[in-house]
Amino acid sequence: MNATVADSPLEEARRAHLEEQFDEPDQQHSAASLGMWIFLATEMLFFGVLFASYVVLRVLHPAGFAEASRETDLLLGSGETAALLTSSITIVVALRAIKLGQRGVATLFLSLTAALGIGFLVIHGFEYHSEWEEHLVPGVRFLKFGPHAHAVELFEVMSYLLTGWHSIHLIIAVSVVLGLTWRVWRGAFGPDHFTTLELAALYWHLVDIIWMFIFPLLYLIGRAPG
Amino acid sequence: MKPRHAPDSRARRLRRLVDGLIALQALLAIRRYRRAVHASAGAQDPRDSRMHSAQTKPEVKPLKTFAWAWLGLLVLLAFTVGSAFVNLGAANTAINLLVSVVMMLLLMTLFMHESKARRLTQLASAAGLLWVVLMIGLSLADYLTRVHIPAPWS
Repeated sequence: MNATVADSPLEEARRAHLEEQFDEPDQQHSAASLGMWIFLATEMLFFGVLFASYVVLRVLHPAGFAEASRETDLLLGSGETAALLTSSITIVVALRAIKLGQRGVATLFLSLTAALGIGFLVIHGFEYHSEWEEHLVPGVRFLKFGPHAHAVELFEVMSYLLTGWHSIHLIIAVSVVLGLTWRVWRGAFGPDHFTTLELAALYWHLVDIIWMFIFPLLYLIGRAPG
Repeated sequence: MKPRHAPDSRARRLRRLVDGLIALQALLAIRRYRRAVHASAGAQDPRDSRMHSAQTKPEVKPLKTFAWAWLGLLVLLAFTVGSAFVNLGAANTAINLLVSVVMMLLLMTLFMHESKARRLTQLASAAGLLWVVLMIGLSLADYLTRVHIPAPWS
């Protein structure tokens, strides 16, 4: 161990947050981040199954999937995507602020992150509503005729599974961020103590990354003329 | 030291030149020595190590990086949406997914600490991605190579 590093005030402060099973703050930090990444990997497995189902169904019914995709609201979908992409930046700006000890900035940007997440969910609620009105909810309220009616219903099944599970993840992420906003405001974190916030940001990024793949697969197929 | 032969003017000039060079060399050597002493003293100077260890905050990326990343993500989003309206056949989806992968890598390398994470952590994330690729790849290897064989009675 380097004596110079051990003497630094930052290291001293980090040591105050050291759990008894760890020797070094760095060790504690990497154990926490490894644990989070293993959890994120299981989330990838979870969504991977849904993506694999989507791919197989689309290979089997390409025309029906294109027809169904054209009925999605691209403007709302793009808006949602922009909101989520922005939120991934605001959450890391909040993390940066906490590392610099700027509690107010961190609270502001965490609130902004949660607001963007809620905005995404509200826009998506409008989409669900219009699908309900257009009789596009599979198994519950579905009315469609034509050669691809069955394939369109399968697309809607995949669409509801993917966006539904994604929304549930986002609701969890928003709840976590709201809870952390409160704790940041109360001064629970600082330059020497921010791992919880960092792990929450990792989860938020994962929810964003999953949407990066859902968006083109549901909204962008069959758009080109001809 | 005086030369044994009577020095002519040319030899004297040469001598003076050599003396000058020797003096210059000595001067440079002293300066080098002083610089070396100064540097080594600086490295061991306790004030220096105190300055180094006075760090009270972890290192952070400049705000400019965040702004550029945000801009980059939004430009990629505009590009992927725009490309969907150009008929490129199967390449449309390929381009859309490629853009998504670029967006993901941008986030992972800049903000998910992947570039400086421990090997074990990198392995955990790579295992997740690899699993998804394997699952979709093997499923496609089946569905894309199936040949429809009608039953004899149909």
